[in-house]
Amino acid sequence: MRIILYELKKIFQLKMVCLLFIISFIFYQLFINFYFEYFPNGRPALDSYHISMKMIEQYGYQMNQEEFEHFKKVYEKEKVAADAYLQARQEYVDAGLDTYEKFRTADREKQEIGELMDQIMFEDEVDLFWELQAREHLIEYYEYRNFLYSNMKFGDLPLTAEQKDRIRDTIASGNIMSYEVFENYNSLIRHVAILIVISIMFMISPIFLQDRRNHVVFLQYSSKTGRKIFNLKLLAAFIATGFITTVQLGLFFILYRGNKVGIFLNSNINSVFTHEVFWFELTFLQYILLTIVSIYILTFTLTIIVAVLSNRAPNYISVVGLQVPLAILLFVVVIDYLVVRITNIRLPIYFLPSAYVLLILIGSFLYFWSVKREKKVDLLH
Amino acid sequence: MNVWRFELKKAFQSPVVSILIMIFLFFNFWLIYNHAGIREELKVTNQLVERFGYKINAEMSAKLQNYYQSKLQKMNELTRKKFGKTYERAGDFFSEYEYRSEVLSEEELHVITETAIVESYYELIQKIDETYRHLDLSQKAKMDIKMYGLSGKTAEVTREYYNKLNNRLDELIEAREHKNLFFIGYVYRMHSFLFKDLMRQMIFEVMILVVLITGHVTTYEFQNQTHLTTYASKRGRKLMLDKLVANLLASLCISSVILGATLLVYFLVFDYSGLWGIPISSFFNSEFPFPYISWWKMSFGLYLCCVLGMFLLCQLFFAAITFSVSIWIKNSYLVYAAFSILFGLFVLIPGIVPKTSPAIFWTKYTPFSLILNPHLWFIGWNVFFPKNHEWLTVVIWTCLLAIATTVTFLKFNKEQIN
Repeated sequence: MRIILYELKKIFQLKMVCLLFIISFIFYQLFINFYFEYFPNGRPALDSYHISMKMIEQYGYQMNQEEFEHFKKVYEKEKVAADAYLQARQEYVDAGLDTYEKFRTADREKQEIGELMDQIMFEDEVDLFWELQAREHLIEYYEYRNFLYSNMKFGDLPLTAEQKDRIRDTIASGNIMSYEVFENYNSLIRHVAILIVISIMFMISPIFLQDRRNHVVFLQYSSKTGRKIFNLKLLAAFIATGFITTVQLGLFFILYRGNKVGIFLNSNINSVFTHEVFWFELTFLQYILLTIVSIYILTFTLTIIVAVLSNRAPNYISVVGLQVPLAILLFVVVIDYLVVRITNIRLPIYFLPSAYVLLILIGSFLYFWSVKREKKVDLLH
Repeated sequence: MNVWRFELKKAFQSPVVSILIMIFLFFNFWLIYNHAGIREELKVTNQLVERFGYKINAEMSAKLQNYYQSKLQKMNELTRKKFGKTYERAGDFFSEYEYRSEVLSEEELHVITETAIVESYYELIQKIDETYRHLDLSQKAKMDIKMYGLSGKTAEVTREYYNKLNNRLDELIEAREHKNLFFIGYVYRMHSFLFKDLMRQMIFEVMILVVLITGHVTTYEFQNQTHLTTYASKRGRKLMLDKLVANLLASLCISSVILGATLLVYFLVFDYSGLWGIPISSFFNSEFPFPYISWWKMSFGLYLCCVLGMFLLCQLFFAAITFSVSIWIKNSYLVYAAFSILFGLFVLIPGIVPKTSPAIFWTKYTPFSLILNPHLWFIGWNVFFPKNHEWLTVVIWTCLLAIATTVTFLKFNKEQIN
């Protein structure tokens, strides 16, 4: 127990913690802050976020055909208001833009018409017009919901019967979920996962190497604890990983509360509005929990890999250099498949469990291999 | 001389360096391979240039039209035979193409594709004058000011910038620099591919290797606890000078290996023969409604050489930065962390300074900002890419790093080493 405590103290040296803090700060500023500050990003996105919220308030978490007709009626009503807005302005009537229909289909390329349109959309930012645009998109998504069949294909593979079933269920359900909220969370959690991976690599990498560089290892191996030190240090690394991951995720979710997505937490993410279908009937909250669990599994496996590398590498250039391809693999491939949009039907239903079983197997194999090697390793060579 | 060799040995003896070089080269080749599907289509450009030269003028245009007409005729003979149908434009064929792919042999399809490409060239040439007439830089200045939220002094700088760019644009049109054939940028995006995707990837790869090696070699004696022997020897603390030279040499070595192998494959896959002399500001090179306007008249070959030169200089800067940091920190692991933090800070700072302060311009004069957009080096794009950006950065950082290195040497010479 005492050794673990000492090891933890070594991992969380003041110097390293400060550096980690600076790295996290820079990473937040460069990659994460954007999704807090610009949520929802831009104009029709903001309106469609508000409208999705209103839809849930009015219709509940599902929308049936009748409610959709009502939704369309509201759209028509707003359109009439937009017509009135245009007709009240002489310059628009003169340019032939006296109805919203004409306004939408007008030729932007013509300079005077383009300027008039910009006046409403960008200079005055008339809410009504942006809202109409957002409603149009939502109506389109609902009306062309069969588009999901082509959208959910993986490459050129034809859809399987199970995939088609899921898509049919999703289309029939009429679940309401905001595309903006969902995409925003996906972008955020992707970057947070990357930051956590970087943090763990940074903090755990020196764990064995440091002792060998300082020649403390000779003392450790000849003491009473002896070669058991490997397990103890690994345990300390696990505790450190759990702590770092929890703190990072905790901080992130405290900040994420500012995005005001509370009402969507109970929304089903299988929705024609998110353009995504998943294997299970998950609510947004369940999906968030699932991504958290997957991040934990990923980081614990990563800890074993990094610790074993640190145990074997002769110097810092090797331990860092070998983690470069590992990091690229994680950032470009693994996180996108194992954390973001998990249980998406583009991939087979057994993909996720088997990927995680494989990860855990890799971890345990590395662990047992290292333990075996530790038992008879020659320290002097 | 001998000492340099031993120091270089330290740089390359670690197997991780060769492993990383292999992996990085694999990434680069993979990227090229993924893009290689268009190589056959690109050859049409080489043929056209060979036949008519790359300068677009009335005579050339007329010849091209004849060539296009004969091509179209040939194609229509083919389609009449196959489908009993003729087309006014080769492009029209491709809107229905999907359903017919099985009927045509590879060769026949090639004829049609080629016609469509020649057609695109022919049609685009007619549009050049109009496109350049519609370029309104004062409008673009307004848009930039709005988009980046500039005001006061910075807005003034923006307007001045576009005035300057406008002069250059007039000069360019006068010299008919834009009227040259090149791969069609709108379709193939070869400029972005070579100078953005591939070059930036290589810059980062080489930077990682350079930092790893420099940190390792410079702190080697302290990490292996041989510092008490080496720095007490006759060569003594001047050994650091040898390390500096070895680091710079190693950086050049790594750069040339990665650049050499990747570009060799690139130019074997994509045929640029006959195109080396074409100005980079050519209309056909542009990929967006706003064309690439180089600040000086530069042919593709010259542009590539300049980019490569900047590439090497940036890598030398990174080596020198890491070297100075290493002498202060003496622990290679922390050096790597420090370098990443420096990188992050220098990229971050221009983004957080207030938009009204001219600092948003001069904080960009760093190699770290520079390497983010290698495809816009020497090119006027928006207010953050001024004419003297590249060479001023080089001059400023050469001076800064010379001072930094001298100071670190002076410090190291008198330092308590134990």
